[in-house]
Amino acid sequence: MFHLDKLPGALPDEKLVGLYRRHPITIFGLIVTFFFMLVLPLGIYLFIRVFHSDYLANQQFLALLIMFGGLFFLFVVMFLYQNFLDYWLDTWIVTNRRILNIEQNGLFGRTTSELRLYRVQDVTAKVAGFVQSMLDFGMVYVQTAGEKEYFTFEDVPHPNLISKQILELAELDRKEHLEAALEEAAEETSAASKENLHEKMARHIEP
Amino acid sequence: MIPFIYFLIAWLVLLLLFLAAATVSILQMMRYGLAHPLTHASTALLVLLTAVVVLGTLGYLSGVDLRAGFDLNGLFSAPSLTPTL
Repeated sequence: MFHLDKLPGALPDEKLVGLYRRHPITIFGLIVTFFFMLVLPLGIYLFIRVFHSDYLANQQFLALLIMFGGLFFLFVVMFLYQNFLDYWLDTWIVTNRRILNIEQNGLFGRTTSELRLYRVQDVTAKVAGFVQSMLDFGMVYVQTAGEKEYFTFEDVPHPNLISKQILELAELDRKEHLEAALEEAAEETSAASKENLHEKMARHIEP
Repeated sequence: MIPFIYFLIAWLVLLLLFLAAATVSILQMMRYGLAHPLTHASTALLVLLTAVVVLGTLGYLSGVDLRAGFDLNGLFSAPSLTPTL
């Protein structure tokens, strides 16, 4: 089991700042659908009781209704559990040193990505639409130096507060780990210049 | 006339499928889930509901004559279209 005081690949002096999940309203539709599916066997039973009550006098028919109705109920409960698992295991963890994104894709797919805070360059919070505005949830995009891909917090509550918090933490981390940040920047620069040099040489050698 | 035991076998096969899928789901939740009361509560609820439904069904089936046949034609030819509540 995953413990917050034992984060994967924990760094020295690392402290948990926040743990975020998608807003619960994002699974509301799913819960309503499953609720209707759960009451469906009961509805069928009531229908038979009202319109075909003599069927229920047949012991074998009643036994079949109980067996397969119960099984249908169990499958619905299990699919609800699996969808809850998918929601519950999608987390964004912010510490004073890094951001961790743990994403569950279905039952078996799992992606874990990590971002050091001193690499954060730009944070954007996006709230779009009536529901998101009313319930104050939305997307937070974290952009890092030299990377085109965004690090995205999906449908998290209070996106503006989170983006502000990440920017402040990134600023603090940059001050505290200036040397590491500079070393990394230097490495990136030298790697880029090496690549440029190789390209120039290749062009020069080509006839 | 279909022997009732055929339905029982089909039910057991589907129950085994359910148990396999539920076990995998619970294992995933226990392995990767956050140590939180809701993780334990949701898992306990799934196990509890499964136990109630399976034991309840087995309890009901213990009083049913499993050697008897199920007459599908005889059941649906019965005229009963008026509410009897």
